[in-house]
Amino acid sequence: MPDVKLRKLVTGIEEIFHEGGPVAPTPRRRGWCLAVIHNPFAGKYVENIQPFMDDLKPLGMEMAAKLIAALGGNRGLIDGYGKGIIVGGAGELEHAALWHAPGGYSMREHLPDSLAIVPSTKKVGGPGTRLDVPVTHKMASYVRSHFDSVEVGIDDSPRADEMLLALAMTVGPRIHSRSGGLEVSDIKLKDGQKRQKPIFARSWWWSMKCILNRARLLRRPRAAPPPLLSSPTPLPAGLWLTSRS
Amino acid sequence: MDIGEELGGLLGARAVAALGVSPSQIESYGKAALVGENGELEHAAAILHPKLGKPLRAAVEKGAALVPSSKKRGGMGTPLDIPLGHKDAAFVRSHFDGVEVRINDAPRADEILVAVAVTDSGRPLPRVGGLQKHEIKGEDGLR
Repeated sequence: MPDVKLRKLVTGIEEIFHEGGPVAPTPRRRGWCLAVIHNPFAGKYVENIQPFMDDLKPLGMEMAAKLIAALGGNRGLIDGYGKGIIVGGAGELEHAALWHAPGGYSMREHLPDSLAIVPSTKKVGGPGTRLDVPVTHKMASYVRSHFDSVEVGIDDSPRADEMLLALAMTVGPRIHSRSGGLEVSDIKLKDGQKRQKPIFARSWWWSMKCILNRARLLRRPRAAPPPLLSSPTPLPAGLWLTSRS
Repeated sequence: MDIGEELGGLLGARAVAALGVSPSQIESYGKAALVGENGELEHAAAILHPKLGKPLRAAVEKGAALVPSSKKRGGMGTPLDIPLGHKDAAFVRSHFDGVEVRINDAPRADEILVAVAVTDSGRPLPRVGGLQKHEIKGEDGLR
Protein backbone atom coordinates (compact mmCIF):
# COMPACT_ATOMS: atom_id res chain seq x y z
CA MET A 1 0.00 0.00 0.00
CA PRO A 2 1.64 3.30 -1.01
CA ASP A 3 2.36 5.85 1.70
CA VAL A 4 0.95 9.35 1.53
CA LYS A 5 3.94 11.62 1.06
CA LEU A 6 2.93 15.15 1.95
CA ARG A 7 4.96 18.08 0.58
CA LYS A 8 2.95 21.03 1.80
CA LEU A 9 -0.31 22.19 3.34
CA VAL A 10 -1.81 25.58 2.49
CA THR A 11 -4.69 27.00 4.51
CA GLY A 12 -6.48 30.20 3.52
CA ILE A 13 -9.29 32.27 4.99
CA GLU A 14 -11.28 34.99 3.26
CA GLU A 15 -13.39 37.47 5.24
CA ILE A 16 -15.84 39.38 3.07
CA PHE A 17 -17.24 42.59 4.52
CA HIS A 18 -19.26 43.77 1.52
CA GLU A 19 -19.38 43.57 -2.25
CA GLY A 20 -20.64 47.05 -2.94
CA GLY A 21 -23.83 46.78 -0.85
CA PRO A 22 -24.47 47.18 2.89
CA VAL A 23 -21.62 46.13 5.17
CA ALA A 24 -22.62 42.92 6.95
CA PRO A 25 -22.51 42.96 10.77
CA THR A 26 -20.56 39.69 10.63
CA PRO A 27 -18.23 39.18 7.71
CA ARG A 28 -18.90 36.19 5.52
CA ARG A 29 -16.06 33.69 5.68
CA ARG A 30 -14.69 31.27 3.13
CA GLY A 31 -11.80 28.95 3.82
CA TRP A 32 -9.77 26.31 2.09
CA CYS A 33 -7.15 23.75 2.99
CA LEU A 34 -4.92 22.39 0.25
CA ALA A 35 -2.52 19.47 0.47
CA VAL A 36 0.17 18.67 -2.07
CA ILE A 37 1.10 15.00 -2.08
CA HIS A 38 3.10 12.64 -4.24
CA ASN A 39 1.00 10.76 -6.81
CA PRO A 40 2.05 7.12 -6.37
CA PHE A 41 0.58 6.22 -9.78
CA ALA A 42 2.30 8.98 -11.77
CA GLY A 43 4.06 7.98 -14.98
CA LYS A 44 2.48 4.55 -15.33
CA TYR A 45 -0.85 2.83 -15.71
CA VAL A 46 -1.89 1.06 -12.52
CA GLU A 47 -5.08 -0.98 -12.70
CA ASN A 48 -5.93 -1.27 -9.02
CA ILE A 49 -5.82 2.19 -7.49
CA GLN A 50 -8.69 1.99 -5.00
CA PRO A 51 -6.65 1.09 -1.89
CA PHE A 52 -5.19 4.60 -2.01
CA MET A 53 -8.59 5.98 -0.96
CA ASP A 54 -8.13 4.49 2.50
CA ASP A 55 -4.61 5.85 2.67
CA LEU A 56 -5.97 9.36 2.07
CA LYS A 57 -8.49 9.24 4.92
CA PRO A 58 -6.16 10.39 7.76
CA LEU A 59 -4.94 13.27 5.60
CA GLY A 60 -8.52 14.28 4.79
CA MET A 61 -9.46 14.28 8.48
CA GLU A 62 -6.38 16.34 9.28
CA MET A 63 -7.19 18.88 6.55
CA ALA A 64 -10.81 19.21 7.67
CA ALA A 65 -9.76 19.72 11.30
CA LYS A 66 -7.21 22.34 10.27
CA LEU A 67 -9.77 24.16 8.15
CA ILE A 68 -12.45 24.18 10.87
CA ALA A 69 -9.91 25.49 13.37
CA ALA A 70 -8.86 28.20 10.92
CA LEU A 71 -12.50 29.23 10.46
CA GLY A 72 -12.81 29.78 14.21
CA GLY A 73 -13.46 26.26 15.44
CA ASN A 74 -17.27 26.50 15.67
CA ARG A 75 -18.53 23.55 13.63
CA GLY A 76 -22.16 24.68 13.88
CA LEU A 77 -21.49 27.95 12.06
CA ILE A 78 -19.90 26.24 9.07
CA ASP A 79 -22.74 25.65 6.64
CA GLY A 80 -21.24 25.25 3.17
CA TYR A 81 -18.65 22.93 1.72
CA GLY A 82 -16.98 21.60 -1.40
CA LYS A 83 -13.94 19.66 -2.53
CA GLY A 84 -11.66 19.40 -5.52
CA ILE A 85 -8.39 18.06 -6.85
CA ILE A 86 -5.78 18.89 -9.47
CA VAL A 87 -3.64 15.99 -10.70
CA GLY A 88 -0.16 16.76 -12.07
CA GLY A 89 0.75 16.08 -15.69
CA ALA A 90 2.14 12.57 -15.15
CA GLY A 91 -1.12 11.39 -13.65
CA GLU A 92 -4.61 10.75 -15.02
CA LEU A 93 -8.04 12.16 -14.24
CA GLU A 94 -9.05 8.82 -12.75
CA HIS A 95 -6.55 9.38 -9.94
CA ALA A 96 -8.52 12.51 -9.06
CA ALA A 97 -11.63 10.43 -8.44
CA LEU A 98 -9.86 8.77 -5.52
CA TRP A 99 -10.42 11.96 -3.51
CA HIS A 100 -14.24 11.72 -3.60
CA ALA A 101 -14.73 9.41 -0.65
CA PRO A 102 -11.92 10.46 1.72
CA GLY A 103 -12.36 14.17 0.95
CA GLY A 104 -16.12 14.27 1.36
CA TYR A 105 -16.46 12.04 4.37
CA SER A 106 -13.65 13.77 6.24
CA MET A 107 -15.70 16.98 6.23
CA ARG A 108 -18.98 15.21 6.94
CA GLU A 109 -17.43 13.35 9.88
CA HIS A 110 -16.46 16.68 11.38
CA LEU A 111 -19.65 18.63 10.66
CA PRO A 112 -22.90 17.73 12.38
CA ASP A 113 -26.05 17.92 10.20
CA SER A 114 -24.06 17.54 7.01
CA LEU A 115 -26.55 15.59 4.92
CA ALA A 116 -25.95 16.97 1.45
CA ILE A 117 -23.57 15.56 -1.10
CA VAL A 118 -20.25 17.42 -1.12
CA PRO A 119 -19.97 19.04 -4.56
CA SER A 120 -16.68 18.52 -6.32
CA THR A 121 -14.56 19.29 -9.34
CA LYS A 122 -11.33 17.91 -10.77
CA LYS A 123 -8.81 18.39 -13.53
CA VAL A 124 -5.30 17.61 -14.71
CA GLY A 125 -2.98 20.61 -14.69
CA GLY A 126 0.48 22.05 -14.10
CA PRO A 127 1.91 24.21 -11.31
CA GLY A 128 -0.17 27.33 -10.70
CA THR A 129 -3.33 25.88 -12.24
CA ARG A 130 -6.43 27.37 -10.64
CA LEU A 131 -9.42 25.30 -9.60
CA ASP A 132 -12.90 26.62 -8.88
CA VAL A 133 -14.16 24.47 -6.03
CA PRO A 134 -17.99 24.44 -6.01
CA VAL A 135 -19.72 25.11 -2.70
CA THR A 136 -23.25 24.15 -1.60
CA HIS A 137 -25.14 24.09 1.70
CA LYS A 138 -24.23 21.16 3.96
CA MET A 139 -27.83 20.25 4.82
CA ALA A 140 -29.58 20.67 1.48
CA SER A 141 -27.95 20.88 -1.93
CA TYR A 142 -30.65 23.15 -3.34
CA VAL A 143 -30.23 26.08 -0.93
CA ARG A 144 -29.73 28.94 -3.39
CA SER A 145 -28.14 31.43 -0.98
CA HIS A 146 -25.17 29.13 -0.47
CA PHE A 147 -24.36 28.25 -4.09
CA ASP A 148 -20.84 29.58 -4.45
CA SER A 149 -17.33 28.60 -5.37
CA VAL A 150 -13.87 29.14 -3.98
CA GLU A 151 -10.95 29.59 -6.34
CA VAL A 152 -7.81 27.84 -5.17
CA GLY A 153 -4.35 27.12 -6.50
CA ILE A 154 -0.69 27.11 -5.50
CA ASP A 155 2.00 28.72 -7.65
CA ASP A 156 4.42 25.74 -7.46
CA SER A 157 1.89 22.90 -7.40
CA PRO A 158 1.06 20.32 -8.53
CA ARG A 159 4.32 19.16 -10.06
CA ALA A 160 3.99 16.41 -12.66
CA ASP A 161 4.15 13.58 -10.12
CA GLU A 162 1.96 15.24 -7.52
CA MET A 163 -1.70 15.85 -6.74
CA LEU A 164 -3.20 18.91 -5.09
CA LEU A 165 -6.13 18.01 -2.83
CA ALA A 166 -8.58 20.73 -1.84
CA LEU A 167 -11.27 21.12 0.81
CA ALA A 168 -13.39 24.26 1.08
CA MET A 169 -15.85 25.41 3.76
CA THR A 170 -17.93 28.56 4.11
CA VAL A 171 -19.74 30.37 6.92
CA GLY A 172 -22.99 32.04 5.95
CA PRO A 173 -24.72 32.84 2.66
CA ARG A 174 -23.30 35.00 -0.14
CA ILE A 175 -22.70 38.44 1.30
CA HIS A 176 -25.59 40.15 -0.52
CA SER A 177 -27.73 37.03 -1.11
CA ARG A 178 -31.09 38.05 -2.60
CA SER A 179 -31.81 35.69 -5.49
CA GLY A 180 -34.61 33.77 -3.81
CA GLY A 181 -35.07 30.03 -4.16
CA LEU A 182 -34.84 27.55 -1.32
CA GLU A 183 -33.82 29.31 1.89
CA VAL A 184 -32.10 27.74 4.89
CA SER A 185 -35.29 28.25 6.91
CA ASP A 186 -37.20 26.15 4.36
CA ILE A 187 -35.09 23.02 4.76
CA LYS A 188 -37.54 20.39 5.92
CA LEU A 189 -36.97 17.11 4.23
CA LYS A 190 -33.57 16.38 5.78
CA ASP A 191 -32.59 14.14 2.90
CA GLY A 192 -29.73 16.37 1.89
CA GLN A 193 -31.44 17.86 -1.14
CA LYS A 194 -34.67 19.83 -0.91
CA ARG A 195 -37.50 21.10 1.19
CA GLN A 196 -40.58 18.96 1.45
CA LYS A 197 -43.20 19.73 -1.16
CA PRO A 198 -46.80 19.84 0.13
CA ILE A 199 -47.88 16.24 0.57
CA PHE A 200 -50.95 16.65 -1.65
CA ALA A 201 -48.74 17.75 -4.52
CA ARG A 202 -47.06 14.38 -4.66
CA SER A 203 -48.17 10.78 -4.64
CA TRP A 204 -48.99 8.79 -1.53
CA TRP A 205 -46.09 6.54 -2.35
CA TRP A 206 -43.71 9.49 -2.50
CA SER A 207 -44.76 10.87 0.89
CA MET A 208 -44.31 7.46 2.50
CA LYS A 209 -40.86 7.30 1.01
CA CYS A 210 -40.02 10.69 2.54
CA ILE A 211 -41.23 9.64 5.98
CA LEU A 212 -39.25 6.41 5.84
CA ASN A 213 -36.21 8.24 4.59
CA ARG A 214 -36.36 10.71 7.43
CA ALA A 215 -36.78 7.92 9.97
CA ARG A 216 -33.79 6.14 8.51
CA LEU A 217 -31.64 9.26 8.74
CA LEU A 218 -32.65 9.90 12.33
CA ARG A 219 -31.76 6.34 13.30
CA ARG A 220 -28.41 6.49 11.56
CA PRO A 221 -25.67 6.14 14.19
CA ARG A 222 -23.55 9.25 14.17
CA ALA A 223 -20.33 9.17 16.12
CA ALA A 224 -19.24 12.29 17.97
CA PRO A 225 -17.06 14.38 15.67
CA PRO A 226 -13.34 13.98 16.24
CA PRO A 227 -11.53 16.64 18.27
CA LEU A 228 -10.05 19.64 16.52
CA LEU A 229 -6.34 20.09 16.57
CA SER A 230 -4.99 23.51 17.35
CA SER A 231 -3.00 25.21 14.65
CA PRO A 232 -0.20 24.71 13.74
CA THR A 233 -0.81 20.99 13.82
CA PRO A 234 1.79 18.23 14.07
CA LEU A 235 1.87 15.77 11.22
CA PRO A 236 -0.09 12.62 12.08
CA ALA A 237 1.66 9.29 12.06
CA GLY A 238 2.12 7.93 8.58
CA LEU A 239 2.64 11.31 6.94
CA TRP A 240 6.08 12.57 6.18
CA LEU A 241 7.70 15.00 3.88
CA THR A 242 8.63 13.95 0.40
CA SER A 243 12.35 13.85 -0.04
CA ARG A 244 13.29 15.16 -3.43
CA SER A 245 16.60 14.64 -5.11
CA MET B 1 -0.79 57.59 3.91
CA ASP B 2 -2.67 57.16 7.19
CA ILE B 3 -4.46 54.07 5.91
CA GLY B 4 -0.98 52.63 5.31
CA GLU B 5 -0.21 53.07 9.00
CA GLU B 6 -3.42 51.31 10.02
CA LEU B 7 -2.87 48.49 7.54
CA GLY B 8 0.72 47.96 8.66
CA GLY B 9 -0.44 47.15 12.19
CA LEU B 10 -3.55 45.20 11.19
CA LEU B 11 -2.02 43.08 8.45
CA GLY B 12 1.21 42.57 10.41
CA ALA B 13 -0.59 41.33 13.51
CA ARG B 14 -2.93 39.14 11.47
CA ALA B 15 -0.10 37.60 9.48
CA VAL B 16 1.80 36.73 12.66
CA ALA B 17 -1.36 35.28 14.21
CA ALA B 18 -2.05 33.23 11.10
CA LEU B 19 1.39 31.63 11.37
CA GLY B 20 0.63 30.72 14.98
CA VAL B 21 3.99 31.96 16.25
CA SER B 22 5.07 34.74 18.61
CA PRO B 23 6.22 38.06 17.09
CA SER B 24 9.83 37.40 18.10
CA GLN B 25 9.85 34.19 16.03
CA ILE B 26 9.25 36.10 12.80
CA GLU B 27 12.40 36.08 10.70
CA SER B 28 11.58 37.80 7.43
CA TYR B 29 8.98 40.12 5.97
CA GLY B 30 7.81 41.93 2.86
CA LYS B 31 5.01 44.13 1.55
CA ALA B 32 3.34 44.85 -1.77
CA ALA B 33 0.37 46.59 -3.35
CA LEU B 34 -1.65 46.06 -6.49
CA VAL B 35 -3.62 49.05 -7.81
CA GLY B 36 -6.79 48.51 -9.85
CA GLU B 37 -7.02 49.83 -13.40
CA ASN B 38 -8.49 53.23 -12.48
CA GLY B 39 -5.70 54.06 -10.03
CA GLU B 40 -2.07 54.99 -10.44
CA LEU B 41 1.12 53.43 -9.16
CA GLU B 42 1.71 56.44 -6.94
CA HIS B 43 -1.35 55.46 -4.88
CA ALA B 44 0.40 52.20 -4.00
CA ALA B 45 3.51 54.11 -3.02
CA ALA B 46 1.49 56.38 -0.72
CA ILE B 47 0.16 53.40 1.20
CA LEU B 48 3.35 51.33 1.29
CA HIS B 49 6.19 53.69 1.95
CA PRO B 50 5.61 56.59 4.33
CA LYS B 51 3.89 54.96 7.31
CA LEU B 52 3.26 51.23 6.86
CA GLY B 53 6.68 50.09 8.09
CA LYS B 54 6.65 51.31 11.69
CA PRO B 55 3.54 49.45 12.94
CA LEU B 56 4.60 46.40 10.90
CA ARG B 57 7.96 46.37 12.69
CA ALA B 58 6.14 46.66 16.01
CA ALA B 59 4.04 43.63 15.06
CA VAL B 60 7.14 41.50 14.40
CA GLU B 61 9.36 42.95 17.16
CA LYS B 62 12.44 44.83 16.05
CA GLY B 63 12.82 44.85 12.27
CA ALA B 64 15.98 46.82 11.71
CA ALA B 65 16.12 46.03 8.00
CA LEU B 66 14.32 47.62 5.10
CA VAL B 67 10.94 46.03 4.37
CA PRO B 68 11.32 44.82 0.77
CA SER B 69 8.40 45.82 -1.42
CA SER B 70 6.86 45.56 -4.85
CA LYS B 71 3.96 47.26 -6.57
CA LYS B 72 2.09 47.17 -9.83
CA ARG B 73 -1.20 47.91 -11.51
CA GLY B 74 -3.44 45.12 -12.64
CA GLY B 75 -6.90 43.66 -12.94
CA MET B 76 -8.74 41.16 -10.78
CA GLY B 77 -6.82 37.95 -10.21
CA THR B 78 -3.43 39.41 -11.11
CA PRO B 79 -0.70 37.55 -9.19
CA LEU B 80 1.48 39.75 -6.98
CA ASP B 81 4.94 38.60 -5.88
CA ILE B 82 5.86 39.92 -2.43
CA PRO B 83 9.65 40.03 -1.97
CA LEU B 84 10.96 38.74 1.36
CA GLY B 85 14.08 39.71 3.27
CA HIS B 86 15.40 39.09 6.78
CA LYS B 87 13.81 41.55 9.20
CA ASP B 88 17.01 42.52 11.02
CA ALA B 89 19.73 42.20 8.38
CA ALA B 90 18.99 42.71 4.70
CA PHE B 91 22.09 40.76 3.59
CA VAL B 92 21.07 37.38 5.04
CA ARG B 93 21.12 35.28 1.87
CA SER B 94 19.08 32.33 3.17
CA HIS B 95 16.05 34.60 3.68
CA PHE B 96 15.83 36.13 0.20
CA ASP B 97 12.54 34.70 -0.99
CA GLY B 98 9.13 35.66 -2.37
CA VAL B 99 5.50 34.84 -1.73
CA GLU B 100 2.99 34.86 -4.56
CA VAL B 101 -0.46 36.13 -3.61
CA ARG B 102 -3.58 36.50 -5.66
CA ILE B 103 -7.29 37.11 -5.08
CA ASN B 104 -9.59 36.13 -7.91
CA ASP B 105 -12.05 39.05 -7.42
CA ALA B 106 -9.60 41.80 -6.45
CA PRO B 107 -8.62 44.49 -7.09
CA ARG B 108 -11.64 45.86 -8.89
CA ALA B 109 -10.99 48.95 -11.01
CA ASP B 110 -11.35 51.35 -8.07
CA GLU B 111 -9.66 49.19 -5.42
CA ILE B 112 -6.15 48.58 -4.08
CA LEU B 113 -4.93 45.20 -2.83
CA VAL B 114 -2.41 45.66 -0.01
CA ALA B 115 -0.36 42.67 1.11
CA VAL B 116 2.02 41.93 3.99
CA ALA B 117 3.97 38.69 4.22
CA VAL B 118 5.94 37.29 7.16
CA THR B 119 7.83 34.03 7.69
CA ASP B 120 9.28 32.12 10.61
CA SER B 121 12.23 30.80 8.59
CA GLY B 122 14.31 31.14 5.46
CA ARG B 123 14.24 28.90 2.40
CA PRO B 124 13.93 25.18 3.29
CA LEU B 125 17.43 23.98 2.37
CA PRO B 126 19.61 27.09 1.95
CA ARG B 127 23.05 26.33 0.52
CA VAL B 128 24.26 29.30 -1.50
CA GLY B 129 26.40 30.82 1.24
CA GLY B 130 26.52 34.53 2.07
CA LEU B 131 25.73 36.09 5.43
CA GLN B 132 24.28 33.51 7.79
CA LYS B 133 21.47 34.02 10.29
CA HIS B 134 23.76 33.42 13.29
CA GLU B 135 26.22 36.08 12.08
CA ILE B 136 23.69 38.93 12.27
CA LYS B 137 24.58 41.99 14.30
CA GLY B 138 21.21 43.61 13.62
CA GLU B 139 22.38 47.17 14.15
CA ASP B 140 22.43 48.88 10.77
CA GLY B 141 19.72 46.77 9.17
CA LEU B 142 22.17 45.39 6.63
CA ARG B 143 24.35 42.87 8.50
